[in-house]
Amino acid sequence: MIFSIIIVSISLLLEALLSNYLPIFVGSQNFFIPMFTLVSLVIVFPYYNETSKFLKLCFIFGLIYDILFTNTIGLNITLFLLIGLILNFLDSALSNTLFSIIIKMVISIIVYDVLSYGILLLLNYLNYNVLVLLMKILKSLTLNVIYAIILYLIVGVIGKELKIKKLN
Amino acid sequence: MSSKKKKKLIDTKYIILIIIGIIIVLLSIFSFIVKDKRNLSKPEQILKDGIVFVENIILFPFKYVGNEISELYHLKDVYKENQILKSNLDRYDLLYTQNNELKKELKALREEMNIDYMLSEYEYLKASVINRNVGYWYDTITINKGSMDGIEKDMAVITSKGLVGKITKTTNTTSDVKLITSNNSNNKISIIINNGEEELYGILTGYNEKDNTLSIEGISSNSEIKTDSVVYTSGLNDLFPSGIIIGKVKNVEKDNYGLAKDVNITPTNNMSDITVVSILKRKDDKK
Repeated sequence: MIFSIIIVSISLLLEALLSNYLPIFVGSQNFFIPMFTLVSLVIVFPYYNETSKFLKLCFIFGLIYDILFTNTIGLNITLFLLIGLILNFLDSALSNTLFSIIIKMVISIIVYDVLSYGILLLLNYLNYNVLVLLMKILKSLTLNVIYAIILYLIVGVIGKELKIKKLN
Repeated sequence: MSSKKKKKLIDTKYIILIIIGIIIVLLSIFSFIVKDKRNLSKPEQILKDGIVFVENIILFPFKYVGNEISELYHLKDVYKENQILKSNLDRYDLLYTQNNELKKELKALREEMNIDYMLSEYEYLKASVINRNVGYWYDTITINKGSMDGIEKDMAVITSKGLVGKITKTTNTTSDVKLITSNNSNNKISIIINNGEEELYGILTGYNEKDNTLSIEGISSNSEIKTDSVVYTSGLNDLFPSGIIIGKVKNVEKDNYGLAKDVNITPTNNMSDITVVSILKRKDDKK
């Protein structure tokens, strides 16, 4: 539990840091949108034996995400919990190899983006068209797939060193 | 067997109803939560201040290095900026004298007309950006000044280049700024296009990310608008003071019905490269 909290916390801080500096160097047409908190949740999921414990982790980081970044207390908690449940559902269908983890990550990002866009559109908070959503998803994938591969390898090595059991 | 099937069917119906009920309840809660007008509750403010404080401590060395790299990155513009400043320096004495004359005239006019307070009288509070649009759809930045520094909701936020946005949420030590590039349906700003000879009033309605342009609607099709005309706030909605530069006209198109003109403007501020901002605070708002 502590191991995964540290991994997700580092990812959250890295997401905040990169969101500050990437637009300066890349410009307004930012092709790298970090969603490292979500990616790290997908990576640490196989280290949980009990779904309830993983959902608690999703709740805590959904709350922090809401308070720190979006001021929408409850929205990200709900979305993170939902992604936790989807990961649990996918667990029976997909193994925990790197390829499967990337597929799970892509599904999680798509679900998160489509739902947050849909809810905000439904509540008349924004008026972007669907093309912007598709572009956002595509932009999200590039950087996050790279981060997922790096994090998967790092977490795998540390997990072995600390002898933390991973579910297959 | 048939009663079992019937029972199962009823159960499924109930499950669907419960799911629909949960979705409706959640959407009702979210509709309240996402409102820009909503004030943060005390627990939310305390939690946010605490988390931001911890975040700043941990990220301080990284942000320091990031700022240094960012400054190095901007060094390439220094020579160009220096040339512009040099050319402006020649006009400094003239502008200084003109400014003093205008001040005297303004003072005399105010005394004559008994005006105690003018909208243009603001003091500038400097703040640094600590978080930038992590939620993507929300188009906000977080700054390191809050209600303890006298920041209040709806205050205008600017840089030396022009308008950035307005304050939407405050805690004791931080504030959230909604950028003018936000495509929020409530984000409408009354503006003036200075056409050289006449001033045209319009409303800033949205942002096109692809072209990096802001859209203005409500301009009569009879009006002539030149490219590079300056666009600034009109001060009509009492939220932003008049005269804050927003951008310059890029191109003009006829709307779908041919009755009015849609004007696209390039913002003077690069919204992805804002590190320091000023918050406009009325001088008589000191508490």
